[in-house]
Amino acid sequence: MAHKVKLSNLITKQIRAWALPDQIEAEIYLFLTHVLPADVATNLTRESGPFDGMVAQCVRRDPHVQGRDHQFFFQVQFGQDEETLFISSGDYYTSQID
Amino acid sequence: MSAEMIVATIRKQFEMAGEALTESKPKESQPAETARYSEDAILFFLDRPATLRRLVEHVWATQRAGRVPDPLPLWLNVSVLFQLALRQANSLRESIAFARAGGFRVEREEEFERTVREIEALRGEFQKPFFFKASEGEREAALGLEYLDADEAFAHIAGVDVETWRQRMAEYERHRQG
Repeated sequence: MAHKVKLSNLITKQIRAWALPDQIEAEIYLFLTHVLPADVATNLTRESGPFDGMVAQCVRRDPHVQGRDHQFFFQVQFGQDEETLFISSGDYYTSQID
Repeated sequence: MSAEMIVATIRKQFEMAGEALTESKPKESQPAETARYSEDAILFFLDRPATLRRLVEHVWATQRAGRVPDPLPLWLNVSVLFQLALRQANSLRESIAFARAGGFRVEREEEFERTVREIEALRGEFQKPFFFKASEGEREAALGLEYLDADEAFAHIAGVDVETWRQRMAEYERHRQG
């Protein structure tokens, strides 16, 4: 099933505030609009309690800084039509391995 | 000692062990030395699952007790430890394969592979972002937010109109695939 993806005004503001490099921002767009909807079973972690909620995670390597990873977490909910994925909020962090 | 300090200490240990292993690695043309080196390096490696298991359980317990004000950085720093351990394992696996290809058997190779599988399994357990919970009220609030189509939202984030954003992404995808 092809899922539609919608972003809340909250996550939109959050992503803007993260001030991501252009390439990482494009990668996040592709993750949320192509990768995630194409295979929700693989890309979503179900949290069973206290409610049935979903988290999508992705990591992207910084193209300009060696060893730097950009890690993202998005809270996702299915719409009542079960086709729309609502991305309500998220979190972002960078880590350096080298 | 706080969970953050324990993570930082273990990371230093892993990094120092990694440096020592890199420095003492024989040249690639010496399979006999590489076999001996691999056997020594495996010994370094065998206690990794126990160390990581203790750490993960400590992090879970500390988080459950509400003593981690910001769990995300801690969770990510522990994830980095798994990456480091598995990266070192890959390097060691290459050395073992090189020694084997040169006709030299490496003692404890199976034990090493079992250790790597234990680390991978533990990482799988830890990988789930256990702290990401929301109350029913928060869920209702999330559904009550205003939502935009993804193209519209990202155009807004980038400060351009939707058509410009779509063209930019089409171009990016072409560049990425090429």
